[in-house]
Amino acid sequence: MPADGRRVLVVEDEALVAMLVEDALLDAGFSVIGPAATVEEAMGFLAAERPDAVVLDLNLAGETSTPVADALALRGIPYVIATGYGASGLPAGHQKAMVLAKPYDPSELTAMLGRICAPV
Amino acid sequence: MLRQQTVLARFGEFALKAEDIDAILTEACRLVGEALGTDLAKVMEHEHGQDRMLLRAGIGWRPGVVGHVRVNLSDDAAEFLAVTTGEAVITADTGQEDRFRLPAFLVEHGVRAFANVLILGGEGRPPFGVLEVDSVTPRDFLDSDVAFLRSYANLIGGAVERLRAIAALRASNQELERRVEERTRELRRANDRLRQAARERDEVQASLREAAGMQTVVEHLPIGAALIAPSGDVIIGNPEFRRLLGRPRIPSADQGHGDAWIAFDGEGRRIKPQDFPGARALRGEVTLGVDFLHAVDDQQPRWCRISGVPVKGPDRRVIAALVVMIDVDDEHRAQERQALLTREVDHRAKNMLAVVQAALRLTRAETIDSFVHAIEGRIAALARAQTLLAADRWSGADLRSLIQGELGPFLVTAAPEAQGAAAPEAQGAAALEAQGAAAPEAQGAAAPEAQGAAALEAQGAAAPGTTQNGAAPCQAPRASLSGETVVLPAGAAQPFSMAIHELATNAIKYGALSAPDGRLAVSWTLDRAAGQWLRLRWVETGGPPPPPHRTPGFGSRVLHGTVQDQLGGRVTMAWEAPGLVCDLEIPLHRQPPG
Repeated sequence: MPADGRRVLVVEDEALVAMLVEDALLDAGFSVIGPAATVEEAMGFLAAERPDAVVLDLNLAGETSTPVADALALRGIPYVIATGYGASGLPAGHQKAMVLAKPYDPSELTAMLGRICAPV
Repeated sequence: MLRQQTVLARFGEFALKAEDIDAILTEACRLVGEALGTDLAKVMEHEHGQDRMLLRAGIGWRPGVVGHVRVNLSDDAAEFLAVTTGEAVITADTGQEDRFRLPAFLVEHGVRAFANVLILGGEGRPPFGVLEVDSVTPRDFLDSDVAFLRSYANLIGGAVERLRAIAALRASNQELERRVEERTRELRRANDRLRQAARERDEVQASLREAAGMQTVVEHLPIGAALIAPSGDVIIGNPEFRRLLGRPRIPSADQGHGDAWIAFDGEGRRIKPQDFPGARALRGEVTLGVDFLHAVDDQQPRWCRISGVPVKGPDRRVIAALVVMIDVDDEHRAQERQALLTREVDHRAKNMLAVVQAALRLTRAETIDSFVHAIEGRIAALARAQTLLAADRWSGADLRSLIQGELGPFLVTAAPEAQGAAAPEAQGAAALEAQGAAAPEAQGAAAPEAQGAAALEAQGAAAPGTTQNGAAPCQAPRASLSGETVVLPAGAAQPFSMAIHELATNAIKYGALSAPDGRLAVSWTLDRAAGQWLRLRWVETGGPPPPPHRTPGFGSRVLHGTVQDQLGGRVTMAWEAPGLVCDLEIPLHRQPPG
């Protein structure tokens, strides 16, 4: 498996989308942490363990997940931002982040995660 | 004698009528020469201020004499004697005369005798001159001749004096007329000046009125306008300008007032006070229509559109700045709101697509028909939540309406007569299931809205066997709802709808609603003490026994995903002997609006 059991934190508030991402990641050989539906939950997961990569929905039940993106950038954890706002809606300091525009094909996500995860 | 008196009388008449002094004097000479029988006669006029006399008029003289010859009043002149003595001067024979010397012209005319008398002037005036008769032969002059000459001279003097007076009067008249004319001209000029002044005053007043009109316009313009001095002080400004500026001066590059000013341009960059249009205008630059967010002290910052234009004096130096400020805050806020709304609508649409996509990809079914059913049910559940939210302007969704939409057909009393009538599509999972599975029980034919109301009514009356429409006895509804009015926050409506849909689908496929006598009771309470927790209990009875080893299916996964993961609640499921009992606990305060 190319994913090699790397742990990916899923930060996504829509239950169905989270389930889809979870299935796609598991199928691609990743192991899944989460999903986290709020900033608070995401920060809780990050405090408990260091994932290899993160899938981050930009809008979590009306709140922006920018604090999570900031924390990931600070700790050097690679992440993919999934957003319905498009690349123009990226928060300050994350304009160069990898972006998946919702709705996206789960295989795109797994391919992207495969690229950004550091080689073992 | 008589002839002389007749001559006097004739001359008197003439002199009274004549107006030309030379004509009078010439006529006098002619008549006096005739009367005394002399060949020559003349009137010498004393030229004033001069010691000489002019031969003013005469008879018998060669050309070039009358009006030209002058005689000096020297000691040896006969005229001098006449003037100084006032007596008549008579010479009977010039050859015997030694009192004076004959002037040349007399010698040339061969004068041998003469007599002259003084012509007196008017009262208080010097003598006019001398009247003289000259004879080319020596002769005597009688006393009567001298008396005649005197009388004659007096007539001449009177006539001359009369003409003088007339001339003086005429001159005085002319002077008067001249002065009147001059005065009239002055008056006319003064009048013209007054008219001009009045015209100018009218023009000034008109322009003042116009200016006053303009000022009124400027005062009430919804645009701030002001003239700014190089110091940054407002010289004049209309009320709108003062309102927008909020202080008596603008920041200018050299005044150091900038710290009190906070302004940002469209890109959010801080604008330095020396770059404000007013300050730039004072440096001679033109800046038109720059928008920035401008804060006055502690007030809410407002968007203003500011222009600055330098005002130059005669020497091209900047003497002031014209600054115009327009409040474009409402315009900017509306644009921002519009952009935000557009973004939000776009985001929601994308999000909904992502959810629908997930529902499609996650749904498993053995046949195409059942796949379509499952998908339609799930999408209908999503749509129901959206519809209810939209009806409530996205502030929330009514819990009871959401469940009614899902369980509609089971909430109404079923009339056997109405058997076979299909429920409308909007009825959700129950309707779809009933349609597809050809539920053994007859479904009501009432309209969806009426069904909800009827269900509640039936529930409240709790009277099995109540007749509807006066027809045959009805069967009691198979599902019941009970609970107070609860509004689900906007963010909770869709996941909750999905959760209820999965429960209903499960009940219709495998649970109480799959058996003819099965019943479902849904009840809820709102626990306000603990931060608005909704506690909902789903109780199925009378259904088939559950399979002994149930593996968690897609339904329970969705239930957990929505209620636990998404909404932060709890799901407890228990398969009791009579059927499934499921408790959903959901914190409503967790969901931020929108």
